[in-house]
Amino acid sequence: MFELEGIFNAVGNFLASFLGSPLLQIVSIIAVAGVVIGFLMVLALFLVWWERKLSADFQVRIGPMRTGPHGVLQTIADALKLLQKEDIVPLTADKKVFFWAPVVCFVTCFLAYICIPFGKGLIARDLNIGILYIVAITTFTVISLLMAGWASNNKYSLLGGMRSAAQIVSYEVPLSLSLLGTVMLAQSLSMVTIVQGQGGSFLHWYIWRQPLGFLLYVTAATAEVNRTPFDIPEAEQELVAGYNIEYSGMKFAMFFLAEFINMFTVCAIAATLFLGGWNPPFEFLSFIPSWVWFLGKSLFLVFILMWFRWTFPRLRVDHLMAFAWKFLLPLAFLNIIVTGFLIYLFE
Amino acid sequence: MTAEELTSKIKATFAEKVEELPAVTGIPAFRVKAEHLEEICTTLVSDPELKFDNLSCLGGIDYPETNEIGVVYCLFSFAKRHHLNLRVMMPRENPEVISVSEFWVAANWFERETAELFGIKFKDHPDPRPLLLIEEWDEGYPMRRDWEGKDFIRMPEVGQEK
Amino acid sequence: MVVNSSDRVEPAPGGRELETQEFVVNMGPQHPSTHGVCRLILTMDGEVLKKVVPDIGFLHRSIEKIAENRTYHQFMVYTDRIDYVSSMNANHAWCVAVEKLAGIEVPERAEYLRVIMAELNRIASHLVFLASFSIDLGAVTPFLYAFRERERIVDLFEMTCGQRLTYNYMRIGGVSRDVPKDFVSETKKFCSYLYPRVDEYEAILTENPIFLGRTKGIGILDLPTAINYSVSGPPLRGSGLKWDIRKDEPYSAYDVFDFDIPTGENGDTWDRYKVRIEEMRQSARIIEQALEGLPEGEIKAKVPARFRPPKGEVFARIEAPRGEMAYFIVSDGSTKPYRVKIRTASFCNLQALPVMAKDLKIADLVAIFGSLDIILPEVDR
Repeated sequence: MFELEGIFNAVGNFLASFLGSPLLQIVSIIAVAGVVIGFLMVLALFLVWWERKLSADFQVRIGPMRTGPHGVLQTIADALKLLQKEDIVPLTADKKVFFWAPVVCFVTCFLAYICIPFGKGLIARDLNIGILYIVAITTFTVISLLMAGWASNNKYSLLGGMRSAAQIVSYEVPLSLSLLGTVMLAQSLSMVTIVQGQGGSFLHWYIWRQPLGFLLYVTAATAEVNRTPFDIPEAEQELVAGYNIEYSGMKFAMFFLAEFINMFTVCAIAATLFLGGWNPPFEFLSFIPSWVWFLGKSLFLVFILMWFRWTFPRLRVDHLMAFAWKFLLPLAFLNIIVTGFLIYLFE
Repeated sequence: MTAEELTSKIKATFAEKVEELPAVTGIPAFRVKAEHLEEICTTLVSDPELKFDNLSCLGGIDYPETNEIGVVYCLFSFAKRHHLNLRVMMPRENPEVISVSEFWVAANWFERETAELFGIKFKDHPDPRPLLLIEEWDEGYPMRRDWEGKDFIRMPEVGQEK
Repeated sequence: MVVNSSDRVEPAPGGRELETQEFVVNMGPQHPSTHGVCRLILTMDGEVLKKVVPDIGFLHRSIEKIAENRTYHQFMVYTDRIDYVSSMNANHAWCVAVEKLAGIEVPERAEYLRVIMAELNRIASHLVFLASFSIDLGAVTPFLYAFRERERIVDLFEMTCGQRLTYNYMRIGGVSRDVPKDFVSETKKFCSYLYPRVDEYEAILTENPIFLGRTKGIGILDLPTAINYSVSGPPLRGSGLKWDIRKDEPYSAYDVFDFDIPTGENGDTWDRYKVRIEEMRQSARIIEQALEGLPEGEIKAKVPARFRPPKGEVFARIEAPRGEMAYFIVSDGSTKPYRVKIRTASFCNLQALPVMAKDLKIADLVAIFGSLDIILPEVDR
């Protein structure tokens, strides 16, 4: 009964009844974009609060408690504070690039959500190259980090920017390869088809047929979003916050929020491709709306990523590279070969 | 070696180059002239019965009444487990002594500190820069007993405050 | 200070070589992982360190000069501030030196109390090491666990002397006040609480592959270099030498207790970390033995307020948590010392940093710096 698909269809029909064709297109695009962006902003606020509470739990503390019940308004307070901060631009920085770097970062992290299915019928656009588009778009973060590192005119930022570029580019390869297994199983790049291929019970989810692919994906994804143990670009203890040292105020907030939204993106992709997307684990549980299942699975993976951060020490840069190229990459190839072979045998 | 054995061995090895001082609570102490320091240190490091491989401490000391300024070396041997105290005293104008950082690298920083605080020049020091004070320091040698620094007020003897 | 980067590489005649240049980075006085205000001037070629030059003196408070202006009793407060993380041990060093100079006999109960306090402070100091070492490497959580344990030790100290950081508990001739009634039982409870906690820390860090990759084989200090640089304490023991002043030149009541000296094999960062973890367990052992055998009696020998030690000199050293802390005191028979030379462990350990960090990366430098457990007030005095 809470299926949002019905609500969106109703609104769409209502608008179509009095708007002409080109205007309808524009209005519906704006409306969908507005809904997605609004949802993601609220989600980012929630994730920041959740990270603080989780980290407090792991560290035998209680975290924010005073701003609102159990500190739920803490992130809003932080956002308001950052809005009021002075926007400092270093004198010798490259002003144009300095300005555009956080913008590029923030915008590209939303672009991936064009193709992510939030529930049954709740996808902005079901591109038939869905997953390929997402992998391509998420690489744009590299450009923004390099821009930030370069424009700050600061040796530490430059080091941070270069490290992060090397890291993200290296981990793109095993990431994309680990997804190929599920694409082969679903025989399509479209996200909706992949989810529909996992219908039925939880035994149909691709994780059982692609365990290695799942592990590879989670590892590579942690590196993609610069989370510990792969968070060298932000290693405070070594580089004093790396590529975003010189950023203050709202620009810093953009980098910060983009990191959390990116983290949700990779978890959403994993939930869609390996954990069945918006399918419930058992058929009789389908009275719970599909978007609840999707959110639950994604947030569970977010929890795992946050758990990693507060447990492990950090990998050194050359260990990180060696891990990607000498360990993850051969395993990803092995995964593809074995998957292809088994598909051929059983079908 | 025990303290007595060490004392007699040092006196035997170096004869008139060293002058015995009262023991520093059980540690044999000797006074050495600045020009003999290098060969004495060479023997102390290489002699198989002495084998002083570790410099515990190196500090300056200033006696304006007898017009002497000097350096105290506290040596220790891990191989033989004995201590030795050496003292080199020099006249207060233009004090110069050879650097022992070629024997014990630890002396490097100790000597830099002593040089800037007492004004003693260490010849052949590999890195004679000030260690603790700023490079532009020009207000004298603070650890000397007669230093008139603007922030330093010598407290009166206990029981004689006005 | 002015530092020059090295000369440019000239391109080969007739061709354009890819020129690389070493650049100089300042790991400035304010930095999250130099524990205190220490400036490191790094000459780097890409990620690899070519030269590390420490620039110290930001925390120089001329304690040695102040010592010439204070009586022996008054100076006790300054010793706390030389090493504020393990200030019971710093107090202890001053007391041992002055008592050796004047030949003062300390009552047995005072000696046992001193040992208990010094060992508790050793555990607290090693917990601070564990916390800052793991946070330097990126694992944030052990920091809070270690400080949770340290809170309990600091509560014990507060019960005894009222202070949480700079205790000023010991006096020349003994200790300043007796322990309250429930101190013995609370400390026993703490010791039995500590052993499983140390096992927990080991479970998180010691065999973790990421931790091993960051610390094994990094920053090797071989034994002859260590002895030549006058490195002392856990770095020296990590390089393989079984030397502990508490066992080899015992002072206070240490010759009565039974404990082991952990040593490492390779002299790398992992060995220094493991030595300190083991030392925490051994300290707990010493404390338990001392609590069992705590005798009754006086807590302070009679030392006059205008204390005039005989004319002479003393060189006395103790095993502080960071290494060897020694005092060279020259007395001229008056109430104030003529000259006090403080030899601290971190001063010599920091000198060995450039030789350990040669040709490693900046991340390794942070790990090595953390494993040496340097405290800047000790270096600068």
